[in-house]
Amino acid sequence: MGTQETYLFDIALDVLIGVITLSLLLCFVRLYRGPNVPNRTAAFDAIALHSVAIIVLFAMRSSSTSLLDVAIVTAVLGFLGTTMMAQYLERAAGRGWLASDGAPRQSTSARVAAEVAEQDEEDSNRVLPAKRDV
Amino acid sequence: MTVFEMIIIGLATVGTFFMVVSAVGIVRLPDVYTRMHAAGKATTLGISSLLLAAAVYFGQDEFWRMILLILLFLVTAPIAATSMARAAYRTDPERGKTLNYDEMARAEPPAGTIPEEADLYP
Repeated sequence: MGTQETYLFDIALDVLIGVITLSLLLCFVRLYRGPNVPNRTAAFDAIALHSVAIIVLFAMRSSSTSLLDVAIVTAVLGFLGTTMMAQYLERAAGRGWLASDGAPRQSTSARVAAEVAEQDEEDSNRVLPAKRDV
Repeated sequence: MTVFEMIIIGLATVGTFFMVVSAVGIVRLPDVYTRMHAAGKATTLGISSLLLAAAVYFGQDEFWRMILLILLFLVTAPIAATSMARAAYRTDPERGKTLNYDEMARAEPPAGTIPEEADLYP
């Protein structure tokens, strides 16, 4: 502690943390002005990865191994968020919940709930076609 | 700076470089597919390099945990990117007009698709 060598190492890590924070802000630009939901989800994915990167760099800077657990959990949460968003988008497109530009319709949650109820009613009334042999 | 620390800083710098490249790509590329291409591949390489730096820095048990996290990223990043790109294609009103070659335009709906979802297959 306090020698010139470790000092340089810490300075280098600080610079890297600063650079990657600027890069994180660039991702927020896309999150702000992405024209529709898929663009914003791509930005969100990148933001999650940048968070992991910052956490790992900070774990090295403060040499605390417990921060690495935080990095692992953040990585899994980012993957889950992106995948759930993709699933929601495909289902929403199938049920016509999306406006033509790929963004959700300006609907209150009550209207969405009504559409879900209507769809469920249709689903329960439909006679499913017989399964074909594959 | 010892050689050990120089290796760590080198790996971390490479990783940070790729993260910055991917962020610039996300902001500047023209449509959602190319943005996802930037977000999917460059960030994976960048985060792998950064985690390798952490693995070298901490050593011992943390080394294998970091290798495990790299493997986790290598598995999950393509899954997230492809599922998201497919969702983007199917919710896109213009159905990939910006693409030069649209392989999904000729996809047939699988047997047993319910009518509401049949128009997901153009």
